[in-house]
Amino acid sequence: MLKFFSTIVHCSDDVLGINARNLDFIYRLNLRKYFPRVDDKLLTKEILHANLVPTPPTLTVFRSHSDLSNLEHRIAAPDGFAVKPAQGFGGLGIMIVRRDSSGGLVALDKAGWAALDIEHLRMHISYILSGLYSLEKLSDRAFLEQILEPEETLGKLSYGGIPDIRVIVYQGQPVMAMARFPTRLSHGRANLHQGAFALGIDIRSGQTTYAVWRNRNIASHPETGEPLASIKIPEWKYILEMSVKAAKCVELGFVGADIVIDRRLGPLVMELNARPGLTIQLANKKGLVKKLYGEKELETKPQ
Amino acid sequence: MRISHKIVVVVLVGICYLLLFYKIHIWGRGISRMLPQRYYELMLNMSLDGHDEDVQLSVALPTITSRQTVREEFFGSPEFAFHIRRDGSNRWGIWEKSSAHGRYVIVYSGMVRAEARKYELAARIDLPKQVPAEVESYLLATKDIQSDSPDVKELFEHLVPLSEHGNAAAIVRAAFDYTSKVVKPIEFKGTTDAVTTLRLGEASCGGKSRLFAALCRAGGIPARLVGGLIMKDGTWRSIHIWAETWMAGRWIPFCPLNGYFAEIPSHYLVLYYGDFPLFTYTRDINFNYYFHAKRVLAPPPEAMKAAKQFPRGILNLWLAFEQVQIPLNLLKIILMLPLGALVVVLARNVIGIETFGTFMPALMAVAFRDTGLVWGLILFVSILVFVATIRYGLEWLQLLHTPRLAVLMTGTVAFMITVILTGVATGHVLPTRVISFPIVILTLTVERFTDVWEEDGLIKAIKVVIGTVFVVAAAFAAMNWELLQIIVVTFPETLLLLVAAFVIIGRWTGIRLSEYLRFRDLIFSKEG
Repeated sequence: MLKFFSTIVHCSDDVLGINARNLDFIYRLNLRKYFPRVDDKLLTKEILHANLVPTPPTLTVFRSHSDLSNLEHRIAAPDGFAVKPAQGFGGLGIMIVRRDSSGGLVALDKAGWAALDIEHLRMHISYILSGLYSLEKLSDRAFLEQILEPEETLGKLSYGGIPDIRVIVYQGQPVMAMARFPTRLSHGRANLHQGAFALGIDIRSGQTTYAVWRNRNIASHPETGEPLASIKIPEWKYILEMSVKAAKCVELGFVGADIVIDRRLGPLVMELNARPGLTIQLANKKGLVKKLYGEKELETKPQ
Repeated sequence: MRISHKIVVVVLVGICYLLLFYKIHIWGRGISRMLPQRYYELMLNMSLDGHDEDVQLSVALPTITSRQTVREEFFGSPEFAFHIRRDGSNRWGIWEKSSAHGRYVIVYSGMVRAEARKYELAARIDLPKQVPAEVESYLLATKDIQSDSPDVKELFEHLVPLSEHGNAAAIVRAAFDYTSKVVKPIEFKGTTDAVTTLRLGEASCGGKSRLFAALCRAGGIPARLVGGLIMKDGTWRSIHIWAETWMAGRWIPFCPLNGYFAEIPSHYLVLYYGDFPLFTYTRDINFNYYFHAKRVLAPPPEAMKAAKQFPRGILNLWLAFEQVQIPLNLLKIILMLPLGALVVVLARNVIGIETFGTFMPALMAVAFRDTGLVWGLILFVSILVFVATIRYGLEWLQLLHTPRLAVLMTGTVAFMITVILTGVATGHVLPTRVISFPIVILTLTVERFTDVWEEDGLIKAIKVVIGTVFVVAAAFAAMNWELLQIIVVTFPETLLLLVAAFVIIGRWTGIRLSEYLRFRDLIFSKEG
């Protein structure tokens, strides 16, 4: 029995927990005053744009409820757009809107693509402006972003939305990566805790490794049941470079960079995260502890 | 932990020890007299209808003896004339009114405290040769304690061998064993006399005690009934009856129903000695009553006297509070809140339980103080279900966030009022205490609940509800642990230890228990 427990404790040595992540990395390497740079997506884009890091094009920004008066005019984008809160978190408040063959608006909701009334869209943006989807904020800005078309290799594994690639950058080094795929369960969002699944990525080769869904390792796609073969992430070197550059721009030492690959625009930095999640360890079947604490200049080591 | 954190922890613990040491040194031997004691806030609520006739109501009030303390008594209802009639140790509270008309509510309340007593009986105790005049009557047969009945005498002969007829210890033991083990316990509201109990072979507390007293009297030992209450947190109507025998010059308690032999526990409160009804009142007044009690901590009387001698009670926080009329209970809540916070911190950072709001569970545990944990949780969950239903129904109206929250808050208020009205209609007492339930805390929790439901699904929302309920229960248990309350209230400097604990947990980088579950595929598959 005792041996069993000591084995567990020993095996968990390499797993980075939330406590250690917060104390030894986020609090130490990410200055609180720089948090707005990543918590506000519009600000992030501004910074990245100034540093020539490509981001998805912003179509229009709603700063107050009065900006909603010419909503019809503002949504004239040809093939569709994504509605986002500037200070949203966990993918909340994001709405993907397209135009159907007759030019009417359709949105991806729980049941699939459904006709979208413009009044409903107005209400949704109004919610965003009231701060409903923002972390402890009383008001927020909303923006429309050009809808992206996923590149083929990753796109065929996802449902609805667009898959993204999360790269954890630690003091200028990419240490771990995974690709996240929206599912029917996640309502087209690439958020793991909402039901998206992820493939770990070997940093050196850009080849995907293991799969994880709802904190369990899986061998086949959770919804289609197709076996998940290893794929090579396109433009991998470039993706790593832009992740490192993006992290450097915002002056944070422990960052999760989210990158999407658009069919026409190529890799783009979608957003940055100062509190990257830890499920990435499951997707790579590898803990972060040795990678992170193994690096130089670290005075604290976990017990 | 870095060296700076270790220093902070050591300094905190050191200051705490110094303060404790200083206080104990000053108080010295008197320290036990400075500790708060457990009291019950007892309330007797009585109601009656007058029909333009004179009304009289007589009730036995808790006795004041070396075993029982009664403080801060209150004999409500200004319309009634009130006086106390003393009869030995008994105190009969008498309320009177001429030509009473309509419905009246009379309330008696007081702070009561009783001590546990246990007596060692010698193997042989001689029957008393001579008894004091006031004890003499307890040797005689009465209407319900028929110690002269042939049935009782026959049972006595059967139970007690001839050689032991002069040994009070043996007689009491035989009578106790028979009434507590052979006579079956049943729930019965009316009066059962000794002979009936013997014939039926079953009885409630009164019947058992009467038969016990009858057997003792038949053997020549004075015996009397005691009427009282079994104290607990809550509301009830039943009174309890046990017995006492006069042995070796004093009254010794026995409870055949609950098996207390020459022993009385601290939650037995004596209302009267003798075989009386608890209430006597004018006929046809539709009399009704209930008891309500709550366990509280209060300063012992000696400590209050000491506080008057040293007016500036810096050493003793709670005595100082008491002197400016801030009840100990309020101070207790304030001082116990950090302990609730400790439970939350452990639950979140060490176990990894998700809850609605950070310190919401600790605040909810405080709110449940009046309703009790079980009723509090039942109310909490039912309000959650009710308001979540409203929110679901509101969906099609598509309201903005704040106005929608306002509708939910109104819904919460409506729910509370419904609960209270139902309580009034059914005569249940609990709901009146629901008033102090924090509506704002509940509404915010409900809002978080519906948000999680919307974004992460019902299963996730229910998981967080379970987590919240668990943490609330744990915080409630910790904050209502009487021993901890006494320690923290008497020595508030122990809160420094809590701060030290927060510093330690605040620098703890270990893996949370829940993360063993989350990363199980990573942790457990590696060895294989």
